[in-house]
Amino acid sequence: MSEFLAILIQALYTGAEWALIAVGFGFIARTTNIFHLALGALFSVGGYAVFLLAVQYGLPLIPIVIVAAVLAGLLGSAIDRFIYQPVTGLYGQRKINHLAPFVTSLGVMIVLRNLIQLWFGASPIYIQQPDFGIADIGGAKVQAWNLLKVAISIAACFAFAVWLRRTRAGTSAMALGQSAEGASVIGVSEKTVRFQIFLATGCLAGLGGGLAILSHPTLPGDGFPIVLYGALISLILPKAGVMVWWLASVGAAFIYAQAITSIGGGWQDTILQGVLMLGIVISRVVIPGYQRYAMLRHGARQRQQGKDTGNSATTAKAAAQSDGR
Amino acid sequence: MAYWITVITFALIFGSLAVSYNISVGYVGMLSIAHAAFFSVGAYVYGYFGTVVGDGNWFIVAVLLAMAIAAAISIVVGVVITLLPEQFVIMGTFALQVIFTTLLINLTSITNGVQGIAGIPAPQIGPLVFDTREASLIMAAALAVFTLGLAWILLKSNIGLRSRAVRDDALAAQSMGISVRTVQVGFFAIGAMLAAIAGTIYAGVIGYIDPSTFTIETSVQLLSMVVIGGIGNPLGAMLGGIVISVLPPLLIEFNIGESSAAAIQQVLFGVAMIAVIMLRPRGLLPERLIARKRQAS
Repeated sequence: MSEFLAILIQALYTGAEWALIAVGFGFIARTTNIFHLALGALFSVGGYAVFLLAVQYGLPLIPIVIVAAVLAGLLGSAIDRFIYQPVTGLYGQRKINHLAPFVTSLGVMIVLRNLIQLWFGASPIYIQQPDFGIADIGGAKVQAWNLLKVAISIAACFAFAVWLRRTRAGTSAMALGQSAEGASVIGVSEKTVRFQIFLATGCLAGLGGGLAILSHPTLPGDGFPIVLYGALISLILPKAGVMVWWLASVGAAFIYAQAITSIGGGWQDTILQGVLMLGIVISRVVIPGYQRYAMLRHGARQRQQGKDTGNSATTAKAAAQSDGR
Repeated sequence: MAYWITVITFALIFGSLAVSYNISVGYVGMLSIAHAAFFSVGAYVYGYFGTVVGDGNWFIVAVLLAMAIAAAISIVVGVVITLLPEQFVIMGTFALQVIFTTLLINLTSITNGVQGIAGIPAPQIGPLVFDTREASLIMAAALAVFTLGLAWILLKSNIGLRSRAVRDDALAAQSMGISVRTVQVGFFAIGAMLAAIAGTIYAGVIGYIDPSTFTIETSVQLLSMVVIGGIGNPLGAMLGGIVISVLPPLLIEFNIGESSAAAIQQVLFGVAMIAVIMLRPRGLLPERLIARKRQAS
């Protein structure tokens, strides 16, 4: 197996987990303007719920992963209902102050993470990987479970995308993201839609945690760096679709895996964070700056053309319009 | 008694650190999550100079160098992140903090990696050697007075008024002729330099530093100190810093195991952050009290 293929496969495994948080984080940021860092804790809640139900109660794996995801989703909705909504209401503004939800989100994450640590201890926990045999991809031997994990991640994100586009609840959520006032005018209940958004994204995060714990050892704080990567990925492409975020997560995981292979020594976090920050600067500063520059140049060129052609009334009007006057 | 002198010494250092953090978060509204990174600059500069290059006599040189490095980094980072929307400042500084922690772990030739730097000598300023608990307490108290004094002067000065104008409504401030970006970057740099000073004193007092002290958790802890104490009020930040620093030794007094105590401490931070934002969004000592006192006088 070539090194490139090995890194790509590893990136698929890791990116499949990250994507489930990136999609949720990006969608919540887009629709409610909240940076829901507690998704990282919901990731851990999902993982540890799977551990609890599988190891302590011996229940079958597939149903408990679903139960753990729903549990994380309900917890996400509860966080919104009992913490984010009152906090945003306290400021008495329709437009959300970013800092209050952010600080409370951090607080929720700290509380959940440390409660998990108090309950389960600070050591990594692990469940025996389900044995679905070995699959052969282009000569590469891979665990079939890992392929199934990638397939589950794609299916979950695809289902989320379908929910957004094809259901009334999903389109209401999209409408809320466009304009809260507009959505309320057409009869969308903000509280109901928010419940559904936080439920769905919490389920995705919990599913990610459940899949993670079935694949590799997990710590209570593992969700935090993943939510940070997910946040940066979704913020580079804020208007992108769900499946684009999924692919971007795999791309980020590829950079991470490549850094481990090529450089090693624990530099992978720094390299990935640097690349993602560079991506944000390019998408938020360089590209808009270039677009403004191009518009100004276009206006200047039109004015010049107006002068060259005898400054006709039409070109003068066009130049004035492009100049913003 | 000796134990509590040490506890108070560190509480004053972290209180000063919270006051320095408040200068960027509370005065200009730049919610940075990378303040522990600037704290680490001071600690590692003195750790390196105190052990590798020289001894405690290098303290003043280390302080000046740490301030210069922190200022340079904060200005470069500040210029970039102020180009981005507000919420990106948070994520950008988050990333900076993670990058810094990785650098501390991996630049082993300077930082000695995860093993850290041991045997850092007590700070020395001329004939004064701060090598006893009491002397360390005096140094920490001096730092607290200096940081609070500077924060107070900044708050009361014209530039302080400008900073709050920038924080409350950047667009309106800009229309009044205030250079929003200069004010934001300037205050961010001042906060970073004060954090670096606190770092040098921390390293000198504790004698051993490793990357685990300067992680994102420390930055989040600083945020909780400022949120709980009172955003925008230097006294509030100092109070928050002292209360939260004294909490772990108090928990240990209740015979809770050390790892459990750390987790319980974190849970209490989190709950306190949520409760304060929900019930008292401006913190225990809100900034408004200062305005009222000024009106009354």
